[in-house]
Amino acid sequence: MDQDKGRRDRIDRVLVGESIAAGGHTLQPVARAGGWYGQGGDEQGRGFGAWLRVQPLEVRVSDPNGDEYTVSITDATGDAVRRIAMMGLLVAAVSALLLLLGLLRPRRARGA
Amino acid sequence: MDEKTDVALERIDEMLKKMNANAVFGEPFKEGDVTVIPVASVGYGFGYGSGSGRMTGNMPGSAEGAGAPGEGSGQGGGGGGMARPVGYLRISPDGVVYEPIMDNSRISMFGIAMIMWNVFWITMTIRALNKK
Repeated sequence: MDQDKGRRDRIDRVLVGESIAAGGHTLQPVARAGGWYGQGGDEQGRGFGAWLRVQPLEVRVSDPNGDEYTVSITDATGDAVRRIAMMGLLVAAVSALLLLLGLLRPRRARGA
Repeated sequence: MDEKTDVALERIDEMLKKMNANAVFGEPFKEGDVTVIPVASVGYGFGYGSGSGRMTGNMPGSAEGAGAPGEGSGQGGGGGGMARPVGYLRISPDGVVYEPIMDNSRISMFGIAMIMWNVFWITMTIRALNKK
């Protein structure tokens, strides 16, 4: 069967938006687009899929008096969820390690 | 390559070229001296698949020699998107400040799921170690 290995491309690019004028300031938004898109199949069927996520990174600000600075944009909820997930992974890893050690110990004792 | 797949991949390329950061920054609105710009995180996903098949023998259940070879084809697609507010920009005569938004219900839900996950692992470990 003619199996096509398919094509899969990662999307990772920094997007700079159009300037926004507000309250005498000029803001230039910057975001990151990440994800993937790909397709594959064979002579009997084909398919493609894409996933794209756009996250704000920062805004470059120009003050009316000519000062320029950058304001970083954070995802507080996303960061909190990631920290909780890391804790869960840590607990699972320590538990798995203890289970593994517990399984190996009697075998060693029997071997001795 | 399937023509429809080609077209779809071209569309994705076009979409990426046209996309800019303004997709995640909302329309500014003014409240007195202060202008607020909402900021969100957005995601889109979609997929499409098509396939066809041919049966060279008899159809299942048909009498020997009675069924003609069958063939069929199908296709389907779907997509979805989500947008989640992450904060807002507060623009005042003093300057531009970013104020993050904490989605407490999302954090709580995730926290509860993680507590259950931790209880499962810890219980399993204690039980396994006590058996020895």
